[in-house]
Amino acid sequence: MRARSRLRKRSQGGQAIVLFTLMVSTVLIPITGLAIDGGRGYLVRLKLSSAVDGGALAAARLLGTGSNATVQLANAKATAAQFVAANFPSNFFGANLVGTPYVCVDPGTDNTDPCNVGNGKSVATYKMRTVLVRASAAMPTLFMRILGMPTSTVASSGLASRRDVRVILVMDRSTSMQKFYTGINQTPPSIQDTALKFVNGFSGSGDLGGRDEVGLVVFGGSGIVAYPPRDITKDYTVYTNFTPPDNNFKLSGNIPKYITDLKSGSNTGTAEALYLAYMTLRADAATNTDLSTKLNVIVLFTDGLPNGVTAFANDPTFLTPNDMMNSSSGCTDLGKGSWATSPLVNKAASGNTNMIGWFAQWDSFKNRASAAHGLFPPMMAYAYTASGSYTGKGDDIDAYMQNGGADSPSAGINQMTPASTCGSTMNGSMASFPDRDIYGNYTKLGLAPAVGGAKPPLAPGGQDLYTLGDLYSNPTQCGGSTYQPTLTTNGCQIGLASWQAAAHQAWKIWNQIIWDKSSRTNKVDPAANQSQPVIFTIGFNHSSDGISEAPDMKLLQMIANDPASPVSFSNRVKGQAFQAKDPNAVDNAFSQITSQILRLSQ
Amino acid sequence: MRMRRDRGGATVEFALLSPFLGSLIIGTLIYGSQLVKELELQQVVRDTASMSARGTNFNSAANQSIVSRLGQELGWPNTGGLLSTSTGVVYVSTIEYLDSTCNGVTPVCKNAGHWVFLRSVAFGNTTMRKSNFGAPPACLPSCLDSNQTDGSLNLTDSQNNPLAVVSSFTYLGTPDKTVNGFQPGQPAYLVEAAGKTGPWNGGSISYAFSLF
Repeated sequence: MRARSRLRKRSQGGQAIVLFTLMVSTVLIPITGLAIDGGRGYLVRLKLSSAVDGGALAAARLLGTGSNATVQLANAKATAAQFVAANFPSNFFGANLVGTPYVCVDPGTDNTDPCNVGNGKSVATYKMRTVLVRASAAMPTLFMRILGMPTSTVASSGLASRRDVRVILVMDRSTSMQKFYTGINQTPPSIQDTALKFVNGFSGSGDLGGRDEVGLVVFGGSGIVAYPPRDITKDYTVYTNFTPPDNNFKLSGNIPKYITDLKSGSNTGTAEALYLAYMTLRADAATNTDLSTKLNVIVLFTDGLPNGVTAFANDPTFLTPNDMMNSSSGCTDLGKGSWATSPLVNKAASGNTNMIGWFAQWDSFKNRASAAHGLFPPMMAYAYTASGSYTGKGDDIDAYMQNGGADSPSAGINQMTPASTCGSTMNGSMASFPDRDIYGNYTKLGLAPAVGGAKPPLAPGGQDLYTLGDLYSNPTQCGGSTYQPTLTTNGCQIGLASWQAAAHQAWKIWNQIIWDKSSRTNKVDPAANQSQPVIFTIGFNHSSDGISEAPDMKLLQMIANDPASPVSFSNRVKGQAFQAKDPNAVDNAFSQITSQILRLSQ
Repeated sequence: MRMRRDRGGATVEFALLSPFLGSLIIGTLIYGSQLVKELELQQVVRDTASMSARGTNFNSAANQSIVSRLGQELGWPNTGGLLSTSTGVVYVSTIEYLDSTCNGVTPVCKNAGHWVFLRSVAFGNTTMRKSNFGAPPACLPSCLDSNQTDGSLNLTDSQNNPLAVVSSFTYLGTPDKTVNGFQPGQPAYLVEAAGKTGPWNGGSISYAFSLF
């Protein structure tokens, strides 16, 4: 008994080693090996996933490369494969790509799912341009080969998609832009080069997908919708009179021609330009059920401060008629206004002339009690046609582009400049300047009535919003001299009116509020389909050349509802304000906006 | 006596096995730790490249701070972004290829036939690990376009300054307008990052890059 017990005890000695050896070979090494090979596989998969993401995003970003849809498709596929290979170096942890990546491009022309991104389930592919990239890599195992698994294959797929977009590009062509509008194909690039490159990045007719829509608004003191071409006979203070943009924008006679022929001149009527952009963007909101599925974007390019505003000076519907020009001013041919006699006729006409036009501020925001103002012909609403330069119906767009002074003093009415027909300016009182422009944008923002319970924000502390801007935030910023709000002949007041009208129009866009001419009120857009636009702004600051004052970046941040804006205009997705100090930077800003559009449209 | 011998046997067996067992455990821990950090580094370059391609400006301190927070497993600061003393560095660049015509610029620029930097930002401990492609460009800061805020180079420097040329970049071949694929003049977004992935301070430095 004792002998057996001794034997058993002796036989137990070394059992742990035997057991451990067995465990090492059957449990520990396989488990450790699984962990190590699994970890390597996970790392390879992450790298592969990064590679296919890079390939899909690069292909989606550059989907417009090529002269037609066939070439664009071939370029997209080749580009995706190049980026996958670039991101997955050979022998990455011993792994290599297997074959060439699978690249599928769905132009989104129907609801079929050729790339099977829905994995058999129903997904919305119509009106979405999609690039799918799949790749796999084989990785030799270190430990698992002991168990008969010499290689492990990992696979990954990347997807980049973009909704159709509708973009309205708003270009400032004020006089200070003269040396930057020098034609196309310039070195360094002209602003026209940068704008055209931006426009050509979208997918128009004949391109892969081909459903992006781009419109163009060009503005000086007064602006026009250049594309789709405006019809000068229409009353564009009525929001139903606008035409939506289409996908033919790239055709040589359309936006490329207008941008190529663009010449500088005149002031900066930002509020009207934003109004025209928004009305064009939402022109078919009542009927186009696709509108809310698109990403709708307004891109405002400007190099200066608002210093022009289009208004009806003696609007008879104002509660307190402004009487900006009456008989006591010596301008006997200027009536008190009548909607019945619109559109505007020039000063030579007899009778009850309307006072509709754009009010200009001169002299770089200096205090000037004389020669500081003027009233000039509008180009869009109640467009001035008497000079014979324009024939209407849209065939005059290129003439407007080539004539920087189309809306300048030499072109027509100029009732308000001293030494002209009138003996004195504006009845000597800027205090009677219209409370709102012709599109319902308040020139004294604090007076703007609430719409749907909402009002434009005030500055913290209840001060006027303009005190948050760069120009009027302190009393010495009006051209370096003291800004005197109470001095009624102060030229800065037209600038200030323009500033506030622009801010109001941007706030209205972010809150989808429109001007209803019939009721003379702003109201929440009643259309069935909302555009919910996002605004991007580019402030071209070339003030160091002494030609232009610096743009008010705070205002541009407000317009874009930039996260850095001192106030928020909306809780919707934010836009962004870019500051650019040379054409190269403008090009860069356009490029960044293109990238942002890709981000937002996913 | 026998009991004591048995107990000693187990101790001896454990003593014999423990080096193997200990090294297996420690080795697995070290490898696992390094693997986690490698994964994090890969994820950081992937996310940064993805953001860069979508228009994010990494010359902004706030955006650099986001990258730093992404790399917390690498010991990167949670607040304030990567510093010159941190255990990591990130190079964010935008590059393009200038073909033999300098993409149509006349007269043909000096950097024709090369990849060049259009934009480049480096943040963190740049002495810890250099870029594989010469980022930031050797001409910085003199070729920095001071009119911009995103690390852009002056266009003339990108086109003519030999110090703005990207070194050893072969991943996209030689773009050619007559061949399908990535074209001359198109921007590519390149992100490189390095961080310490070894188990202890002073450990190995890993590198990763992504091209979007």
